[in-house]
Amino acid sequence: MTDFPLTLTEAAAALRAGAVTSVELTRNAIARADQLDGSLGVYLARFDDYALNAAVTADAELASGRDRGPLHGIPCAVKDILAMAEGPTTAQSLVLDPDWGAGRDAPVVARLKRAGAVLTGKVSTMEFAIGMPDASKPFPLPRNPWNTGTWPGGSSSGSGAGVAAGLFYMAIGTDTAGSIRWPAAFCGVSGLMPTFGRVPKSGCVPLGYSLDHIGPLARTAADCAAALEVIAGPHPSDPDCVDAPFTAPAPAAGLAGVRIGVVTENQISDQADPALRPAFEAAVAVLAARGADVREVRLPYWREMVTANIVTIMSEALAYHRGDLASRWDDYFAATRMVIAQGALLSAADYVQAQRVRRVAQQAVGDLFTEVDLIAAPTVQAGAISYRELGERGLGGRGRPGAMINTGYWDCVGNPALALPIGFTADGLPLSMQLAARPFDEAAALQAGQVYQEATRWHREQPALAGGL
Amino acid sequence: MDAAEAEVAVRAMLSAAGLSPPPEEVAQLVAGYPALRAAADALYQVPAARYADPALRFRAADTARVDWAEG
Repeated sequence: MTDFPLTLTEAAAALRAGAVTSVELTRNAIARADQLDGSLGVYLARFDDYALNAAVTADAELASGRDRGPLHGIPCAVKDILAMAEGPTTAQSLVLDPDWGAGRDAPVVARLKRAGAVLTGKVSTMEFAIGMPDASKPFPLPRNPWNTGTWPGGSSSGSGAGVAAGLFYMAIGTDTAGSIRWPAAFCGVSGLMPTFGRVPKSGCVPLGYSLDHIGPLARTAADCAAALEVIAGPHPSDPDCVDAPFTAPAPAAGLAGVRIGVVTENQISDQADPALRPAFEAAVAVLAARGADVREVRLPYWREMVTANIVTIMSEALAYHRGDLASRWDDYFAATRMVIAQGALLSAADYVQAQRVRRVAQQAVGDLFTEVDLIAAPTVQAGAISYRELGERGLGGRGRPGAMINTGYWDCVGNPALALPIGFTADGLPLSMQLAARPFDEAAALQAGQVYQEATRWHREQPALAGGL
Repeated sequence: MDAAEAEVAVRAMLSAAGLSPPPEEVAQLVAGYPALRAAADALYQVPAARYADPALRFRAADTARVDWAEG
């Protein structure tokens, strides 16, 4: 087969139609990795033989009528902060104990395997899902397939870049301040941060215990829905994870009766890319044209949630890292240690106060969701930043990329949010919007995302580097 | 908070945490500290949080130790 399916759901359909086999999909994934990964830095570990064996099994099972669902036989990847028995977990760090998680599967990984997913390898992350790429450390620099001089975003860098480049159909990422939606935005793919407590986060190296979300990056909203159906559900090792069944929603004919609040305040600053506002307005117009009742809203406690996100991450991460920071400072990436060390500059009362304000904001957002069913906002205010600019300006501060992401708010209040591609900058870099929903109502965002993607083609655009194969 | 106060505070808190970054990184932390402190202080100015219960978790019945590779 020379023309391979573009999306996970199309690949699943092609498998069942006999138009392609899992082995063919997997060989193609391996061939693409052979050709592209040297310039993209997606993989930290590849499991080619394991993946091919899993593909052979998937083909045999499907041929015998044993169908494990839409991920069965589909090449997928896992961010290298989740444990997977086939290889070590590094968290892209020299510091993580190599014995941590050795030979074991995180619950999410075990669920993917049970669903018949073909796991091709572990993919790059910012160190411990925070900080920035550091060329002085022995890990590949992840690069954006849309322009390899730019960064794919983080921290699920390899997940976003790999999906965009067609190295796999879906990858697991994690989101503590935006780390699923940010790379999804920069790489022009879809990414779903599920509700806090929807997916067990045990077996994943923690960043912020009360903020970490595990979820999928894939080409479409429908692909993300298929993945969430597999990884969602309680696990006794994660006390935060609740028993709230999730079923991928059926495609909707339109959005009649769906009330969508649109946020621009604090989301499109004077530093935003000039193409963002018209792209976002066009995306909202598509939703309205499909029947949605669109109205302007504002997000309560925006500034406070930006701060609460930072205070909570720094404090929770310092608790995990303090011993290693004290003894192995230089082994950490420069940006990682500088972010986490700031937890030492905060008090216990600061941390608790952040959790009190999170509760207040959570309730205010709950009130807002009595007036609307979804909230739409730009995911990030610009396209992918170049490595040159990143080196000169760093991540934090006004006008810098860290201040241009609109994602941490939703981590703080725990609602699900789905990032969707909506266009391009003048330089040809992807732009994105996010649709947030009520807690445990991912289906509403996914269904609206599917309707949006039926009406647009942004999610089918491919970088020249990937499409040229 | 002036720069000298920030430096004294940052050095003391890093030391208390057992952290000893090199001078150039201490300088970066000192430079960013007043803004971090101001942002954290602003969280105490949210009137609705005056009597709010924090979003923390602790359940007395959670006595089982469940390994994540099981279950």
